[in-house]
Amino acid sequence: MTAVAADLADHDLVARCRAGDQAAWQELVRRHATMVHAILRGGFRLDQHAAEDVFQEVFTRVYLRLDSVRDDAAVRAWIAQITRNAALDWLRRASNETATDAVDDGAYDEPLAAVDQALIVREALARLPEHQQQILDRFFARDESYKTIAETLGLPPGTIASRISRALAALRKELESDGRSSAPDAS
Amino acid sequence: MANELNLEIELAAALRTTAAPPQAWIDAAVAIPATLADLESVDRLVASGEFRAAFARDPQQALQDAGLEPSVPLVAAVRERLAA
Repeated sequence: MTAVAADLADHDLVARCRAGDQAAWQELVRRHATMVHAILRGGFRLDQHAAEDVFQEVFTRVYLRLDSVRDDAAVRAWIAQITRNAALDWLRRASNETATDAVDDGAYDEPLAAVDQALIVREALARLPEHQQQILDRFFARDESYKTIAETLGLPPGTIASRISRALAALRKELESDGRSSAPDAS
Repeated sequence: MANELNLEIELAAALRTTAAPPQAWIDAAVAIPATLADLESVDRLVASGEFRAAFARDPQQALQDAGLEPSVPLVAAVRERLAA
């Protein structure tokens, strides 16, 4: 059932979740967990402990509000909005408890915009062939050397640089197909 | 060349920003429907003015006094019901 759920569009997943399909709920959580985590940690700079609590709160709200989704096709944006609201609620509660200054909603606009950009890049990366995702992830996220990448993936060491270059070109093409002509810093 | 460098910088930042959450968080979120299986109890509690006052003072303690495990999903569910 999980394999089937993974192939469903968001609106079908939500319909199945409403019907109590546990595999569909699992897939809904799995599919949007990274976005929720990125908004909480990268956008609102919550520490690990706070982010964990708000993460659970977000999915509790999602679960309890499944019947109120107005546009099943816009589930991702709906969950993102629930995440932003839950984070702001948490910050307000924390601010009340510690009697610190009121929360300025606008203070998070810039980091949230950076998270949006990062998610676009992450989604474009996810559309690349697995071997290209692997090599970019190892080089740019894990900081692995050409030698380590070659050994781990069983590739000739002399080909790693050109493979990374080809994977980057493929990523750029994916981003262009999203309507972005180039990386934002270059525009 | 400059474009290539920008993409490399952006990709490294994107991968850092969008790291997957710990698996335990996902497992706990997947378990939310089971954790909230007894929503009728929540509705009964929320109907009580005494409970609502206690919850406003200290959510965790109020749930414990009601004989419930004050998990994050349960606290969030009570808040949802109170806001409805």
